[in-house]
Amino acid sequence: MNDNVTITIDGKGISVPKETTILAAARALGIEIPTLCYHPKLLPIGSCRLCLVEIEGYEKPVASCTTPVVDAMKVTTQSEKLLALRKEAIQFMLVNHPLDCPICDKGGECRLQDLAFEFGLDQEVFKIAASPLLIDYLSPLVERNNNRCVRCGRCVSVCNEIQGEMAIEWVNHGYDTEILPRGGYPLNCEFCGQCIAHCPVGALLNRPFKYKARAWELEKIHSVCPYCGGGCAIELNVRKNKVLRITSSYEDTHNQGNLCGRGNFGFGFINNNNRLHSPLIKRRKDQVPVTWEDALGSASEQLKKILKSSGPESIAGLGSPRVSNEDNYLFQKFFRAVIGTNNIDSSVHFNYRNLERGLRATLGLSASSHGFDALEKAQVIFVLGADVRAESPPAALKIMKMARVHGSTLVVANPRKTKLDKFANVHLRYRPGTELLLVAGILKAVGEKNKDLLDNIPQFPVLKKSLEGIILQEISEVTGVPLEQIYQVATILAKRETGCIVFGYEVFTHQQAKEVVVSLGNLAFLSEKVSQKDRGLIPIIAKNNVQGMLDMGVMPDLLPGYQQFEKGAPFEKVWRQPIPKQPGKNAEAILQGILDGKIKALYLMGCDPLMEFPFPDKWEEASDKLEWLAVQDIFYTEVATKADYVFPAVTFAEKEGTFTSGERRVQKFFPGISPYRSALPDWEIIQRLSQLMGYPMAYAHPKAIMNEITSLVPQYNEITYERLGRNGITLSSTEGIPHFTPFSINKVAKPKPGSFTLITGTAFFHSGTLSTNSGLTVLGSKAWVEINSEDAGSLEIHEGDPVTISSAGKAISAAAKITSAVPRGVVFVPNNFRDVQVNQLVANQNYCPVEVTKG
Amino acid sequence: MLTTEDIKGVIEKRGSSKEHLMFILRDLENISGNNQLEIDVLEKVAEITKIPKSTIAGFVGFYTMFKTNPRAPFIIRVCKSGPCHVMGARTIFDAVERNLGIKPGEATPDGLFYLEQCECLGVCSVAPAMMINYDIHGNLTEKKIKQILESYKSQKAIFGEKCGPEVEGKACVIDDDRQTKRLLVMVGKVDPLSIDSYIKNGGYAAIRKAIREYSSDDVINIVKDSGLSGRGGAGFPAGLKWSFMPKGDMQKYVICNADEGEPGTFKDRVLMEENPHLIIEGMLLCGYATGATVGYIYVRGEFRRAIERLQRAIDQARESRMLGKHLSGSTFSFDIFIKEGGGAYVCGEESSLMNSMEGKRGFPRFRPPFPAGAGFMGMPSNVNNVETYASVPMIIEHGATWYKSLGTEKCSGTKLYCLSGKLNRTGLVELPMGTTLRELIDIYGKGIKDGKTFKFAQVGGSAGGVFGEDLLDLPLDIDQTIKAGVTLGSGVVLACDKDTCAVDFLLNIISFFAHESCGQCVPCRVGTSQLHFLAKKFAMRTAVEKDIDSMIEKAQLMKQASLCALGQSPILPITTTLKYFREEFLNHCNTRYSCPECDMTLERFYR
Ligand SMILES: Cc1cc2nc3c(=O)[nH]c(=O)nc-3n(C[C@H](O)[C@H](O)[C@H](O)COP(=O)(O)O)c2cc1C
Ligand code: SF4
Ligand code: SF4
Ligand code: SF4
Ligand code: SF4
Ligand code: FES
Repeated sequence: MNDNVTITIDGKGISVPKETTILAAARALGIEIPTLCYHPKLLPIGSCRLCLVEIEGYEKPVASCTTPVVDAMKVTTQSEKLLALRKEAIQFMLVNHPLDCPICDKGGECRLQDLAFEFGLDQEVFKIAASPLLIDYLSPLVERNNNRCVRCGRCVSVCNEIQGEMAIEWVNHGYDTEILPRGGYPLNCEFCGQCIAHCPVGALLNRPFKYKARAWELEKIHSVCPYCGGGCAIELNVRKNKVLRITSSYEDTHNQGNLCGRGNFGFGFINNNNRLHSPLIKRRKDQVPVTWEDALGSASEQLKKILKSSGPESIAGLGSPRVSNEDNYLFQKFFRAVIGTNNIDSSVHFNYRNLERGLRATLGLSASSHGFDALEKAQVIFVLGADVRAESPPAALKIMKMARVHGSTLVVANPRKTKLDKFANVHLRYRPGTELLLVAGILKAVGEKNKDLLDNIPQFPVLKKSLEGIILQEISEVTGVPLEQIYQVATILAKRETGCIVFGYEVFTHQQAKEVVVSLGNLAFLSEKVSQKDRGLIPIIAKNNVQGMLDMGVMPDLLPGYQQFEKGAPFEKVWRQPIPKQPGKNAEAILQGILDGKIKALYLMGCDPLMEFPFPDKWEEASDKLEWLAVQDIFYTEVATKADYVFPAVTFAEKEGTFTSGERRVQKFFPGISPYRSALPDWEIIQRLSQLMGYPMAYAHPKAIMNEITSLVPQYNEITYERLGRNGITLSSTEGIPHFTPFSINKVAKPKPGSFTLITGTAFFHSGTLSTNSGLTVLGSKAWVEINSEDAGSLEIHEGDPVTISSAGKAISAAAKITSAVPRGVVFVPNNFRDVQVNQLVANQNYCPVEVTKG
Repeated sequence: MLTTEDIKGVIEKRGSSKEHLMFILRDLENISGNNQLEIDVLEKVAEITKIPKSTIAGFVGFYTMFKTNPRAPFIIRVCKSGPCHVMGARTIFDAVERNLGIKPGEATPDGLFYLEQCECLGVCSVAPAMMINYDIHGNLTEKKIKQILESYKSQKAIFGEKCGPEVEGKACVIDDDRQTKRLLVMVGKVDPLSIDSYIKNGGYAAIRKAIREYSSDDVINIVKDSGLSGRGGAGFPAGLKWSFMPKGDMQKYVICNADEGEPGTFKDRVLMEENPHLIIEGMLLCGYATGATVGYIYVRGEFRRAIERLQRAIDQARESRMLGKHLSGSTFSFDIFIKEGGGAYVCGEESSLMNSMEGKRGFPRFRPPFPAGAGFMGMPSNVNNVETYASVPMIIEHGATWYKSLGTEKCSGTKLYCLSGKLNRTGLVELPMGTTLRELIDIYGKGIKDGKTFKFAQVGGSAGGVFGEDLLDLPLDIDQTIKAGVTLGSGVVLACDKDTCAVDFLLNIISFFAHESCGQCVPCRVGTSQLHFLAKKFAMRTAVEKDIDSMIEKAQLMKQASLCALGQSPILPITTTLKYFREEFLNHCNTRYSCPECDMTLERFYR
């Protein structure tokens, strides 16, 4: 059946699908109809009435943005009458409009201003006696001036439809209709800034940007958001060598111009005056600023000495998921080719490193099976152990849209309430640390209930053994998830509809993280979630270049591209240097090595073990023991205070390079401003140090590094630096054949009644050094403890009371936030806050048994 | 302050989904003691129902009957719409103010009364009127107001059965044998509280007959043949509308529009109060014809008695198995529920009405999709007016030919005309479609009050036009009024004598639109306010001639560009008023021109 209809617009014929609006059909023909409230990614609103067109045989004009085509329709988009109507409609919008364009931030990029100009209206036409509306100067980050609002409704739509936040609403009626935050001012929402980005006029302003620049003075440079693994494409808005604002355009970005609060407002660290601006050397007790020549000269001399006296294994390095692929690649090359050791690792050792291990074991993948696009076709989405909204907002937007607009079935399993719960058909609240049991239980339940399904899958018996000892009743007791829910999810997944399994931080920090990934791989294979284009097993990665850093081989046991040392010949050829064949020390072993006096030199690039790693106190002890500690960073971090050498690096906004997002999208970013004072790109610092160490490196540009990467890393073979367009290229990750893979399950004891478990995770506005030094701190810079209201009641803890959480002789303290978001017996403390180091307690997992006391 | 338990109780009783929001909030307001919905209470509601706070705030802010500020146990709402305005509403405000010493928006020092303005209360034959909580008092005089207010001082606020217009529906029907009563034939005869009485008088025979003898298509065809057209204002052929409902066994809805907010209209209220089963039967027939299994009656929140009586009728019909599953042993199942309004005229617009039923702000929806495609909850829905449904049983019972025996060639049957204004006799009359204004005024209205002379009549309500003497003999049906450039609308006839000032009258209409615009689309939101501003200029005698054209221009744009019929309406009253009274408008451009009517209005509402 052909569902196309043929219509004529301004005499031109076109055949379009039935549901198409007249506006879309006209645009397909290249015919421009003026619009204001319409936005292609929102449901039509129809409030501005600018897009009126005439249709033959219709008494009155219709709004083309809301009216679907009908076969044989004859549409006129331009006529005297329409022009007059549109003009009148714009006049109406100008009524009582302050027309303070010269002092309005929107001036120069305001739709109303443009329209008034286009239609030749240059003065205010009319005033209605009405008292000016309150301007909201109170809300953080967003300034709302309803006097400039044309009531198009876009902000409400974006907040509801895209953001799922429902923080603002139309209120009142008649002329007094306006848009206000729920519960009045100030705004209390997730501060994504999306409403600002979608307001066609200057009613919603970006506060940090206010009065900073006129639109036409800004240069827009393509870049990539440095926060989460979502890898949103952004534009740095630059004037006079300062990044003043971040934008993202709907038309040419894979994220459709959607950004979260960190992306929109979290860039303040770039222009921050606390940035490191000069190399430092420790002379006796003090660190003093020196030139690069002195710093690198001395560092290389000392390092050479250690190399000579103690050998390459006495030197180690830790890379960073925040810096570019090129930086990371060069960093590991430095260790393998220049020093001759595999002692290189990163914070990811404690979490995301297990992703590739688990995926490869079962599905033959080295990364996410699909891009986030797969989410947009999913009829079923199963989210396990991820606070997707905080860890990777773009994935959350897609999931919410599927659940709310397209009616997909959403199952969310998490030890605490997350934003997605609100949109879920089923939510499972399991006890912290029982992810593996839960998945095993679901697998078992699928097996029990779907004998005939399993008969058709010949390899299933392979799994039988892993599931043998499993008794669902016990699983239910230990996980705390009712048996019916386990069966319910099993039934949903056994239908094998198109869908995705999504998992995140709780899984990566599990004691048996690899096994959980394997079990999920099995589940995905069983429920056919990986076999086709529209089905996926999708990890949620909370830091922007985790995937890239791993792909670049910043790990002790594999070469770039996850290649075994035996297969290192091509590297040796290109690097003209033999590479060590023994796996190096991982982050834990490096720490032990330092404490044991075996490791004497440590090179840190963009990471601070004192803040980001488990056992911070041991790291502190270790950093004091080192003979040679070099810290390369953008800020003077905790660990930098102990460094012998501090190398100031530039941010992503000052250099060029590539990042690889969680969906393995490799994207290029460009410098918007020149390097901050003496700071240098990481790759350049490494290169200079190498040269001084006697190993020649002469990359003129990150492009040259990427060319080397593409020649050596098979996964990156398909790209060339030049071919990476605005949205980069999403790499496939298939490297083997999926198969059921057995896994083992450690026993988990049932918690004692009355005991507490601490869990930790990403706080939305906060993800470490970057956000701490950006404008986001207006939203709070102190950590907190979430505690269930009933637990709080029995401990007589009130909102804001100090609460002490202790375990194995260590304790942290923060203010109580009483909530129903955590179940009884669980407390949540966000990680990455300077004031409360939750890492002290949870070590290398994200949960641990604790005691909770008031005070 | 309401406790969490109180709030939980109400939500438990009403159900926690969004579509019950109106009920929940109304109940909470009633038990609050001072007619207030405190922000804290709303937050609790949001928390318990999981309806987003913003949605609730937007909802409360839309419906005029709700307020978040403290009021008083008794809210006095004085009507300022057309019929009451003409009959002296302005003096009523004065009287109430004198009596209680408060202005609109204030509470008496004893905290007992709170004064507000409101739009049409649906008792226009006894204008001027006011409503105290849900009791509506008409025929107000200063003396009467005093007595009424006195009587409340010793009362407790009540809610429910006992509330309602003090003049009962049946008393609003003009007592004159020359009428051709079909819809009203049982009014006053049948006991509205008893289904037995309805059945004894031949009720529910039509639905039984339909189930027995006709297929659903037959019913649609009979209604088509009868020529019945919608009585809510737009006059769309009912049978044709029913035939748009898709076939198939998806959930479909029959919706009865009982929002009756058009100033001057009170016919639906009389039918609901006096013969509720007739409406139920009409809806049953529509359900049978269209394959819908659920019906909703959306009654404006002010009509307490109508709501109570309809609810009682529904309960009785369920008990007597006239509603429920497998009716009359057939496969046809149908049930009816009531939804309430919150004091917004625009909610009578059918798509806005469905949004309101869903617990949303009453924003009209753009079309397509039409209700038959995606209506209430996105499912196919048929919306008709009360009078339309009430006309159906007789058509099925007596046949299309019989029905067509009255009325004009293109518009068959009888019409309920609502007479109000400066007439010697006001009230409801049922006459064949196409009765002339002259007949209505001279015979049924017994002529202009106090022997004064006729100046004009407003026909069709605020959205209708002004009729001068030249149109006195125009047959008032749907077709011929349209041809003459006016409209029959919902059947309002508001007669005005020579004392009425055309400028003041138009200002009143336009202020109504400005107040009732939903505020969603730019042309109407700004346009109504701009018209209001311009009309006021004439009343203030600061206008210039060009403002006349300005008004027409703006209204013309609104007609072309507005999203719904509300914004498209002001053009008709403006052009028709100007057709007759341009001169008067020009006079008002003179600052020295004396106009006590305008002065009084300015003093009352714009000081
Ligand atoms: C602003 C506005 C208010 C309306 N109010 C009512 C009303 O109170 N009652 C009513 O039956 N129809 C009202 N209508 C008409 C309805 O939209 C709709 O046409 C009618 O309910 C259809 O029923 P009918 O075909 O039986 O007349 C209103 C329309 C508009 C534009
Ligand atoms: S900032 Fe985001 S969440 Fe807040 S009101 Fe705007 S769109 Fe909604
Ligand atoms: S604030 Fe901006 S986006 Fe929102 S309704 Fe007003 S003009 Fe539109
Ligand atoms: S979603 Fe992630 S990538 Fe996108 S703007 Fe936010 S932090 Fe940046
Ligand atoms: S025309 Fe008026 S009432 Fe209708 S949608 Fe527009 S603003 Fe609302
Ligand atoms: S763009 Fe179509 S109504 Fe605004």
